[in-house]
Amino acid sequence: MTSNSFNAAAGIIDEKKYFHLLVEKLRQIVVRPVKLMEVCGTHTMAIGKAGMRGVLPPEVELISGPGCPVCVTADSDIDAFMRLAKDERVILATYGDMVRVPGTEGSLAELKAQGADVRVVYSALEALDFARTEGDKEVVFLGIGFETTAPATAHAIKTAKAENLSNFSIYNLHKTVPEALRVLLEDETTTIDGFILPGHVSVIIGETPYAFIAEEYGIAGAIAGFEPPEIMAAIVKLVKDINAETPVISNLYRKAVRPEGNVVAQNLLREIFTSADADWRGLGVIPGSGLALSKNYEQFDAAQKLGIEKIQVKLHPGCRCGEILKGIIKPRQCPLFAKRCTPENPVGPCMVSSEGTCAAYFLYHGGDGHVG
Amino acid sequence: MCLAVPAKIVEIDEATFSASIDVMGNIRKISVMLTPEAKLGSWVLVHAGQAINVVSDEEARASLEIWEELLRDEQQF
Amino acid sequence: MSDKIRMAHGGGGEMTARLIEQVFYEALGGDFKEANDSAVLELPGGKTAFTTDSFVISPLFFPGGDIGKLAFCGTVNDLAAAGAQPVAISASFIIEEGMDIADLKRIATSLGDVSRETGIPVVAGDTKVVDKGSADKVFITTAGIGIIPEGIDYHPRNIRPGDKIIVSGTIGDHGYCITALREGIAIQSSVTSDCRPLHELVALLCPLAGDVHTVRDATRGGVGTVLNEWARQSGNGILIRETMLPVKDEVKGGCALLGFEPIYLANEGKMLFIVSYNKAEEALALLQSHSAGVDAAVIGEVTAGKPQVIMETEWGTRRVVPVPRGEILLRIC
Repeated sequence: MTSNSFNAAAGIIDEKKYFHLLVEKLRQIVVRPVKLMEVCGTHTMAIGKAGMRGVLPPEVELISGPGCPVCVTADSDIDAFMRLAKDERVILATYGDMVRVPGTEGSLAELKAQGADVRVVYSALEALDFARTEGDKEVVFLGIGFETTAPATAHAIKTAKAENLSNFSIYNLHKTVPEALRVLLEDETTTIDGFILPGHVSVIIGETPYAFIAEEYGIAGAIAGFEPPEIMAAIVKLVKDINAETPVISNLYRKAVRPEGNVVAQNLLREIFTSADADWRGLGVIPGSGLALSKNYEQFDAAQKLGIEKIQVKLHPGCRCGEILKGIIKPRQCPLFAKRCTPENPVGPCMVSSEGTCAAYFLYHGGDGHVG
Repeated sequence: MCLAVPAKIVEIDEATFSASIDVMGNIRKISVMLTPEAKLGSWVLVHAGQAINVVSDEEARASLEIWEELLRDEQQF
Repeated sequence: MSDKIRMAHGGGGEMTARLIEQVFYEALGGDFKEANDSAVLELPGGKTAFTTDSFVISPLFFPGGDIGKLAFCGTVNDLAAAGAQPVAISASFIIEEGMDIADLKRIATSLGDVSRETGIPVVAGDTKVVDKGSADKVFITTAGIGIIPEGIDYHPRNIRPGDKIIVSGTIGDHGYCITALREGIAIQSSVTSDCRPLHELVALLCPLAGDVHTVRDATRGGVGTVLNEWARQSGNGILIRETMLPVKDEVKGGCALLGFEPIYLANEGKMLFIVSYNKAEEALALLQSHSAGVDAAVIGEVTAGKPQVIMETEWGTRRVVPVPRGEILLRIC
């Protein structure tokens, strides 16, 4: 929608026409049922808000994936940063998305109401500012997000080191996407015929990290933008690839994604972070899917600095987050969906995250999972 | 996974990698550390206070050609 | 008089009297000065509307107004939504110890200014002072009385399938203006609050009498919330068209940047109307003839479908406009 001003400036005015033509084309070419996974939470919401499911032919099923960094935050991590928030020495700075996520003993919003110093920020650099001006407190920034967001955290850490800030650290929750896709492909219970690949993660990492999807697993992938015609173009491309049995990784978001990605950002990530195992809610520990602070920057790791231990938490019985995140079932097949688990009283983060699959279905698909 | 919008750079200090962007009349300060090639007048994709890439209007126009290809019957492009 | 409010200002003695004299009588004038324990009004017979609201907004001052103006207009607009001509307003102030008296005066004057401009008097009021920390500088509670003319009955029970829905102007301006001021967001925007009294605007529709079915101001929760309430209360569906929603470009752009939607942002100078389909054009023309309604537009209609709000997007697709959940938070992901 705001791309309108960019598109107008670039001389593009026919997006609506193309959207309708692409929908028509899709109806013509689809020959059998296909399941396409929209990996990214932003795509799930874009699809919901654009009402796209309503115009797809019935053979094309879009399933939502684990690409919502809030949704895949492990319960043990949630409780750990809740404990940090309660610590009187700490100012906990976070993006707004995390504030209503439920821990065992409430959410950050509830802790804030009880007097915890929890502050919502729009950028990691704002958190750095608190550290500069409030020297008697430890500022802990919740580093959450995939490769799109990790560079912003990296920038803050690099700046903190250059300024010798001793009261700034991050609780590191950053994860990377390609390894999670591999886990989905290895899982025999999932059926995915093609991937709509995350547009903005790809801005950073480029096209090559996805090559294995086509080369090793024979599954097609298409990097897509977020406007309806961009998403529809990706779907058409995927169905064509599936029909022709020529699985490739395509980039349909060239205006923002270069084949090599953003090399400056990648270098920054390599400098500040190193690959590590990460615990994904519902998917378990995925090797090499997390970003840990590298040796030179370990002093900024809040867990080490403040001695936070993670305690394993049992998932609420009945919660089928894991299967939903893998696209095996739809939200309405979870017994808790829209009954025990609602945006006001969420059991898990998928229902409260602004991009959670369950939240998207609850809001945009009539609350009962059916298209409204 | 992330909300990012295209915005035009209306002020830039290349030495400190800081810039001001305009999104339909809203002005905001961001960092252009990740996009050293950005200049005054460039369009950038903004996420979490950072420009993560320069948006190419040539490639945007090229997308239309890709869409035209998809609308034709050939399987490849 | 000291420059900051102290507990003694609320004690009922000399300091209270001076505060009322020098801040409130000055600002609110006329009828407020004449007050005894109660204001006594002579009202014509028939239906009388009575409403109250509290205002706790922060920041107190914003482009386009302040809490004083907001409090007055908020109550006037609630009366207007009932189809009433406002007759009198009351204003009670709960003030936090330590507040700057100059700010209080500015706020009271704002409230008084709108009162004078509209000719709707503030006839009663109260002030209390509470300990530091027990309030956020100042909270204002206003109440209002108005007279509903014969033939006017604005209520959701009148809503029928086929009715048209009209909004009086651009949506989300106030909510966006306040959000952009929040610490940390640091957006420079020229959007100002749309805070203004709308009783005259609504009164323009009186000649349409019973063909105007119901009216509401779209304050907290925005247009999206009001439409959902109407759908629920009337048991009917509502269909709106995204391309018909009047939204300032700046609000659209800022919302995209921050992850909000204009349809859920508060308005303090906009009304929603549901009118008979055959009177919609006429209603629109009447609204557009007033400065408060120049951007008025028909945005959709009431349907016989499920009681939910559906939007036809700019792409020609349809999707649900859900009831907004939770506080508006800054989105990143």
